[in-house]
Amino acid sequence: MHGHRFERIEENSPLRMSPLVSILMIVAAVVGLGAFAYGAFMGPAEDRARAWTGMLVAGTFFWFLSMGGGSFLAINYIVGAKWFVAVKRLPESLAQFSYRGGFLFALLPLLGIGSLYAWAHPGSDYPYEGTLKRVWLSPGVHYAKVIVYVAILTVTTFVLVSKSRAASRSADDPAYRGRYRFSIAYIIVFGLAFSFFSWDVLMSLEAKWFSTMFGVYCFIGAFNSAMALMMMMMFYLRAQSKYVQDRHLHDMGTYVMAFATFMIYIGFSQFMLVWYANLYEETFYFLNRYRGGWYVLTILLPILKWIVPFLILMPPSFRTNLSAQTVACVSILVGQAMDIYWIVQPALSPEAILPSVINVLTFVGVGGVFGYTVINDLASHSKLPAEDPDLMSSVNGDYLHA
Amino acid sequence: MARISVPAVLGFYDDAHDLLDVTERARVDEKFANLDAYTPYPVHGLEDALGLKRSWVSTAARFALLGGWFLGFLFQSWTSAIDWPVNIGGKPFIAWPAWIPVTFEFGVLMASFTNLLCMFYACGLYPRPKTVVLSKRITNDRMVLVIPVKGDEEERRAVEFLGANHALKIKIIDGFDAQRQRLIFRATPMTGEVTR
Repeated sequence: MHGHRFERIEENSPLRMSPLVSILMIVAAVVGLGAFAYGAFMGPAEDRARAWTGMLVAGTFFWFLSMGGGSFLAINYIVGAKWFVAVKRLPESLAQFSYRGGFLFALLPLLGIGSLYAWAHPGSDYPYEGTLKRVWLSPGVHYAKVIVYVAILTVTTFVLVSKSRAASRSADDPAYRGRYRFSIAYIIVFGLAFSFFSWDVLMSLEAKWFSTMFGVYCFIGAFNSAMALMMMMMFYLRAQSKYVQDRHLHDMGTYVMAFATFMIYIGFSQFMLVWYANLYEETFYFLNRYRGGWYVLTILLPILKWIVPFLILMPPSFRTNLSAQTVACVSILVGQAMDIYWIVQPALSPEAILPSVINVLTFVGVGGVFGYTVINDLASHSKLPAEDPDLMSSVNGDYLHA
Repeated sequence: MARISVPAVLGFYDDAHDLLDVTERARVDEKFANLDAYTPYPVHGLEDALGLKRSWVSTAARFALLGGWFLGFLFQSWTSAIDWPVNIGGKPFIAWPAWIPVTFEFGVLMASFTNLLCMFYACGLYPRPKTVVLSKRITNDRMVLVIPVKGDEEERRAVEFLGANHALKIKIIDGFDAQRQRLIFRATPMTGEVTR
């Protein structure tokens, strides 16, 4: 376990993948976004609304992944964690998507608010005429506030990643302390902006419904899916670098399992309070998702997002096992995509429908852009953060011994 | 330090890495059996270095968790559906989603109590009103490797091994004075760098 200690990092080249993968990502992006553009602007008029739903689901999914990466970085800096330093290129690479394309996909659904939100139509079945809520949920204000949220999240994440990559020689370095201080500011701003983003973009799809849990629900979905993706990338990093050890995989696997449990905790709390209070203005949200075939998806979500990863990752040896982690992490990622679909689509169609071909292609397209920027980012930085004074502690596990 | 085997040779260290290396070498290279170690704080990887198997405590806690879930659920069902059924807002008597929090918390409570008590028992901390103090320094800044020995030959080998591996201090426990509840130490041969 301990035996060999590394005195210095000898091999530290960027994490490269075959150029074929990058080309594949570009092809996916072009085909997928082309299909979306066709569906949303040129296709049959009755299908255009669904194309926008697909963009909202896909854009939110990948935007949330990058937000999960950013908040993971900030949280670890705040608590002074050293275990993750050897693998911190992974959260950085997810977070950088927010300012290299991610913000576009968070903003793009704004163009389709006419097809997405019932409150965007004057005179629609909406009981809040003459109230502040009517002003808050009106197209002009919606444009302004979503642009502000996305701008705040993108700019702060950019600064966080830059500070994360700034070199510092020791823990007394101003750059090191500045990173810590900025992380505290980041997490406060992030918590507010991300919650408002979730409420206004996702929860307002069902404008009559409200849940105080919704911001946390979205955050933990984002956080856990980002961890599941980092877990998968970590196996690749481990195969490429002898400095990444089973210990790192084990710690990350424990995180994935713990936060899958936190996901069901939040999800169940949201459901149980509504179920128990049984108030007319709250229950319709879940009733809509119980009826018309949506029931299947409602049952699948806790299975995919909690039961599968929880049971699989229970034995400690499975947390460092590629096959076991693949099942658990893919389950979480598929569950997260389905979760966003479950939030968005039942608001617009009472009968359950599968995603259309254009929806799937849109998801693949945004995924292509995401994958391209992440691969490109990993290929342009050394795979271990040589600029971080905590790197050797993380590699050798010194932080475990007081 | 409840169940210390005597006679034994003790090697004192002040660094976790040294202790880990020496422990692994004593077990793997020198084939000393039933090694034990005492440290002022948890040292990661020590259980592997000592060659300890996974303890049964977590299994006990797991069964306590499942039992707690079962009992918690059963008790809520019994009170609200059998013993004193009350119609609350037209809900079914067994309104299971409302019981999940209590069921979960009761399972956690049972598991943590079982974990604590089984840990006391497994470590020999209970039932035992008094503990034998090996050395007061191990509650502060010293780590001790305990090598139980049989006979003079093995004892000589253990002392030589610890001396060759830079123990700060070596002590030998000869026996246990049951009346005064005290360990009997041999006049200690000092080797290596003895500090303070």
